[in-house]
Amino acid sequence: MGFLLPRRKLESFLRALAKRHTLIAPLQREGDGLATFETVKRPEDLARLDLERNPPFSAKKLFMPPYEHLFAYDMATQEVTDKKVEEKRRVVFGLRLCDLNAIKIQDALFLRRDFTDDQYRAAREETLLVGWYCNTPPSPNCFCESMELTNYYDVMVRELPDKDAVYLDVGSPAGIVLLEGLEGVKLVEHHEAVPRIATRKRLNTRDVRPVYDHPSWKKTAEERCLFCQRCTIVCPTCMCFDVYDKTSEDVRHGVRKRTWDSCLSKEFTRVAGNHYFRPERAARFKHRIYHKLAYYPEVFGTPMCTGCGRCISECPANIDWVELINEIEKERVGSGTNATSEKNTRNETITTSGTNARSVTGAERR
Amino acid sequence: MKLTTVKKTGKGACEDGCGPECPCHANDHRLERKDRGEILLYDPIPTTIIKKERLGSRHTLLRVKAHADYAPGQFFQLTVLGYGEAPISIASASTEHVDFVINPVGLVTKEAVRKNVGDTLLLRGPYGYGYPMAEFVNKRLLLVGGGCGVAPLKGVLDFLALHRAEYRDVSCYFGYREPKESIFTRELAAWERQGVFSFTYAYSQPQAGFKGNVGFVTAYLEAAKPDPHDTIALVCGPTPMMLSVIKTLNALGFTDEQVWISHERHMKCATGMCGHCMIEGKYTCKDGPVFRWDWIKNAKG
Ligand code: SF4
Ligand code: SF4
Ligand code: FES
Repeated sequence: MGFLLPRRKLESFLRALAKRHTLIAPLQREGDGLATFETVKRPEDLARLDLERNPPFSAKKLFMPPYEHLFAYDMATQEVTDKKVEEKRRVVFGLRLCDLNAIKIQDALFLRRDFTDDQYRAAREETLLVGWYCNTPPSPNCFCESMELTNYYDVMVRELPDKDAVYLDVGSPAGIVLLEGLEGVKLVEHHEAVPRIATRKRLNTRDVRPVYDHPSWKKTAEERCLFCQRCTIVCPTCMCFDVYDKTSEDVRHGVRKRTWDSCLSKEFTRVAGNHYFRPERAARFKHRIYHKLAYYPEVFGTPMCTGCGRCISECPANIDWVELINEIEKERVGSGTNATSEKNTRNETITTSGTNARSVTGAERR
Repeated sequence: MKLTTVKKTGKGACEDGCGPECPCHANDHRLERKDRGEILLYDPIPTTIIKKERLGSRHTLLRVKAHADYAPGQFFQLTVLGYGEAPISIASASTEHVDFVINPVGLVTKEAVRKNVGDTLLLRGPYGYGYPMAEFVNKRLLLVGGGCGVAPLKGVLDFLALHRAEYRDVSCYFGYREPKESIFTRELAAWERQGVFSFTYAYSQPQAGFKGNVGFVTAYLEAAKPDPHDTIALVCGPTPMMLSVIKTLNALGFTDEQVWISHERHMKCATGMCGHCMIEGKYTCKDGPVFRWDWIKNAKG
């Protein structure tokens, strides 16, 4: 179910949303023009709306800020005070399908049955997600076609150039409520599909377990990767965090905080007595990718990467792990065989082995 | 202490219609979860230290009063405000108190052992999936511990003492560097005297002239040749020690399914979220810290 809106009315639609809700959208910041997810404070801010490219820093900061206050404490009395869980009612606009799926991945981890992360829940539960559909991939590094994206949103906004209109696809009951009675916005009921798109770049296999010991991993990790952790910072699904106490100069009061962390750092696995459980560079480099393509799917059923391509675009060492895997895979499959039939047989073996039980090319699905 | 009936599968997830013993209900068992109002996931709960004792030359026992619902093999996250949190295994089995054996090697533990009876100790937990004791009913148990690794096994022994009739022979092989490092000597000796459990000790670097067992526990295991039939081995200690014990056990005819090990990892959240404790896709905090050896033996990093 959905609605049509004339293309030129998109801005008044957003204005109406901003009037009623706290609206967050990708705005070019003043100064250098970098697009970031930012609150629309005044209607004029929408003039800085950037829908051309996907912001390099994803929306994950909205649900888990880079530095988050858990509680304050008093060392003298051992008292814990000022616990912070703020319910954040807001609407986020401009999320691409990959980033919406990144939120789905984080929801699966933080809003589990056994344990629910209270801070994440508060930030997430009352936030509505309004997508912006990619008719064409915004970056040459997008490879979402190879990932199992699903329609995970309250509303998806899709431009229909031939109709000179935008189509608002409703993905949840909350989405209907959101669209109801917006001032000055006339919506016409309509139905249109929200299909997956083709990307130039593709990840040819997600079945990386058999090639764990391939020498290319080690070569890239030891000769090229700077372990700067930029890829984990820009990644919308990387969610590892660290917890630490920050005491003020009175040596009495302080705050327990959590902050983003990265499995690429050696410190990540250090325990008391200075033992490191993942000291080798290659093992750390691989852990990030294997967590996304092998470990997470084995528990949660979908890969923990959405193919947004940020980690590739932002890497200062120009490391492209998708190409790396494709090359390893090409070598493994061997030359001279028919590529398509290879792919099909491989899919079957993957299915029977039970891991990554789905097709590698995503276009024909859903 | 009840016998838990939960079946450990090596995975954390579960289907609908499970009972309160299921891993997905882990948070329900949290310390004082029910009686207090708004307790957030990472909030430490204040408890009072009711006993403090030096254990051997390295360790300190801290007992806190807590109506906790925990199983052998689980752990608590211990907070010292201003210093941080550290996972500490449980060395007791009681619904009235929890014992921790603390080896002061890190920031938090060093600070924790400075506390005294009457002081507040902040805890959250219990976390992790302990030994599935219900699965071991009517079996023989072999407990092999090294150094600090004896502490969680003492929790198992406390549990076994409460349910002695349900289990067969329990033999323990505990190794230390030196005799003076031994922990719980009094309690274990009492059990030994009463014939409840049997104990063998080994010391790898005793002082010159020491008359007892010198060497590693593996040598004494090899000599004793415990019958692997219907026996479960619980191994806990430093990684190299556990690996050599497993090798010995395999040679004695134990399969990997009969061996349970316990892993140590850096932990921040203890709920399977922060990613620090991952061994491949397994979370030491929520799927462990005890693992059946065949579940984890091939895991890389
Ligand atoms: S951004 Fe590139 S160089 Fe930096 S850690 Fe990631 S892969 Fe390595
Ligand atoms: S791993 Fe790279 S492509 Fe995948 S979601 Fe993270 S940043 Fe995007
Ligand atoms: S301690 Fe955070 S995931 Fe295990």
